[in-house]
Amino acid sequence: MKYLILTLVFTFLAPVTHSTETGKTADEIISEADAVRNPDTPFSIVVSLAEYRSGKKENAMALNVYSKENAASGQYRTLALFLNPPKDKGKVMLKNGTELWFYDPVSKSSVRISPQQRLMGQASNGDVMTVNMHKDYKAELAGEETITDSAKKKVLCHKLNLTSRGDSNYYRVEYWVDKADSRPLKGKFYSDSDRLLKIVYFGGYKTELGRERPTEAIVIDGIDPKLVTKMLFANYTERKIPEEWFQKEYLQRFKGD
Amino acid sequence: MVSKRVSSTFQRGLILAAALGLCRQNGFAGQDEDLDLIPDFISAAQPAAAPSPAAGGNYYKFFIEDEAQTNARRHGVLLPLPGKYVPAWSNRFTFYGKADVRLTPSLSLNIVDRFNHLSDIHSDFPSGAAQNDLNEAYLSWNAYREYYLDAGRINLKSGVAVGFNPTDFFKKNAISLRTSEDPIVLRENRLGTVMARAQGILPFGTLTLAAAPEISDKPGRFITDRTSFALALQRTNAYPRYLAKISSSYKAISSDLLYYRENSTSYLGANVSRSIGDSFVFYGEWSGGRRYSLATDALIYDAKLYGVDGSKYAYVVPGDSKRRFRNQAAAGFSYTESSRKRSTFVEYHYNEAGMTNKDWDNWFLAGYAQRLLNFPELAPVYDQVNTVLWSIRDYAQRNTEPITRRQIFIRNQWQEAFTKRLDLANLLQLNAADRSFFLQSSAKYSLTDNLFLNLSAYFYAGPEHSEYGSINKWSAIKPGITYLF
Repeated sequence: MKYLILTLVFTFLAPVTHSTETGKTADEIISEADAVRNPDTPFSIVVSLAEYRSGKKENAMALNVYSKENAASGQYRTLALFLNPPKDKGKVMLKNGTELWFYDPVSKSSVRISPQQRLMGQASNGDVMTVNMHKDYKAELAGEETITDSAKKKVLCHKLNLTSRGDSNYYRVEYWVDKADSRPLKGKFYSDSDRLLKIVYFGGYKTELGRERPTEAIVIDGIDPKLVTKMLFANYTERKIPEEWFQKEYLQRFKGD
Repeated sequence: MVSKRVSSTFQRGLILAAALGLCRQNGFAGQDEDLDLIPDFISAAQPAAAPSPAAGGNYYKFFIEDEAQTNARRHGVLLPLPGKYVPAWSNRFTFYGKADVRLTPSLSLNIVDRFNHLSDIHSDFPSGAAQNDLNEAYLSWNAYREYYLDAGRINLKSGVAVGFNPTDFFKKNAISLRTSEDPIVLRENRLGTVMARAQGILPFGTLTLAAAPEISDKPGRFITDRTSFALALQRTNAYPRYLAKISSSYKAISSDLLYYRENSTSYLGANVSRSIGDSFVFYGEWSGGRRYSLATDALIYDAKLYGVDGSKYAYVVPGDSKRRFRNQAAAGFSYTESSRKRSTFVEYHYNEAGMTNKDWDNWFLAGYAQRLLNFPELAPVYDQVNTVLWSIRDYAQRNTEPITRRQIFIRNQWQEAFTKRLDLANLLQLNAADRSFFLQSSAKYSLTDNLFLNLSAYFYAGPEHSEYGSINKWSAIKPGITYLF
């Protein structure tokens, strides 16, 4: 019974810990975890996704994603060029704050889309890589937990409860960060009605652009848990990305090379 | 050490809580149980290697498509379209090719071509069953940073609305084959205009300048012929045209301001869009300039295409024939339910040059008159009048503007409807004055990543003296197949 009481205390009362015994605040932990996912210079990665339902592969796609941090807001702006499947090849999606555009090279038209429209596509899964959690969410330490990572290893983590500061895709996030080296290992993303939307496991850590970064993520759909997406991140490349590229008129010029 | 003990206690507690059904989060229990949702083979699986990102910056797209069409005729329409009949069926085979090839680091060549084979002629091309549309062919030079110069046949598009784009000035006469009534599909199939375009993209906005020369309509020349493989530049370059456009974004409000000049007449235009919350995008589009009414424009300029001097028949539609400042506008919003993968666009279209209720009354009056005065000897005159009247509607369609003043447009698209492989799109155009409507429902089923089955159904409904009720077919079914290379 005492376990249950402890659980209820941890789960529902969620005591707020402002710093760990090492003295790190929640903000510091989340900033360090952001730095693991996101290089501090503009960069591009090739994201390959495969979507499985009940273990059966249903969809696959690949994107070339260019990202650059907005110095003023701290948020990442992204240009995603679809490489696969054939029906989507050449399409471009721009995310610049709340301004989202979708360009189709066949119709040569740019259509403004809402954040929800972006979420309809698998491209939104790329968000988990380039979201600047520190800027988008207010962080609170919820203690330490030993979780099993995607490689089935037990890892002692900081558990953080994140709450949206306003313009993010998810209302709140539960986030587990490796206590030893600040690597993000797991996130659970919720809507404003507290509906679980995604569970994400980060893994495959390899040295890319100067430090260990995740090269794969597994995303479990919160609404339909039989839907699992595996993503691989390859070709981390430092880029010069001019500000002009985040204008909608540039989409038709973007070649992703 | 302490923290590890607490963690262990926490885990055991979670298991207990899960057993008692006290865990929240939609049936997802403890953290380790989340991991159980991932089948082992997925953890080990490697998604197929991604293709190299746009090797050399080149982009190619090719597809072949075959589409049949069966029509259900409407008999006894007030004004039958003279010289045209509604075939019981027709077939279109299309080969589409698009290439964007980088010739040097700063110079690229863009070509879009569409070859159609029509087994039953339902176009106005007299030379047979083949129709080739060179939609684009231009060179693009990246002169400096993000400054570009383009020259050749270019599809320059503007506008934020879906169903009607008042600021898309180069759409006029550009659709050579109506493969669909869906504006999104039509946008993929139109002729570019021969022009020179300069574009400077800056961190805070974009300036676009374009100039298109007049290429006079002289039959017998490859560039202006209406034969199967001719360039038909007379369609897109009938007049000298100039465009200046400034695009910018401020506090998530995106806007364009446009100045357009065609044949010594100036037009102004503006676009604005903004997303509100997670699900809505609101947008508006406006243009205005001095022009005739659509009916007068058609009678003056367009009936000639059919060998008829329309101006002689202006009396049959005696509406507002003055040249004056007229507005066109489209305003609406899109709403998305991402959990259901559905998006809906709702728009109101206004065309001050379009036909009023009185114009429509006059249009149908000619039909009543023919029915009442059934003199066989006047048949040739009736045919001429019918040709002129239908040229007004044809003119509106070829200019991609609503023929009537007020129109409601709704488009709903549903990705992965019922199954991952099925996409649905429904479109409704409602004449706000006579309540007649056009409905198009389309389904696309992907057999593989490259092979798609398509099915569309059209319905034209309304009383016989209404816009859609007067069309000489009430329905059409279009099955098709597409293969992407």
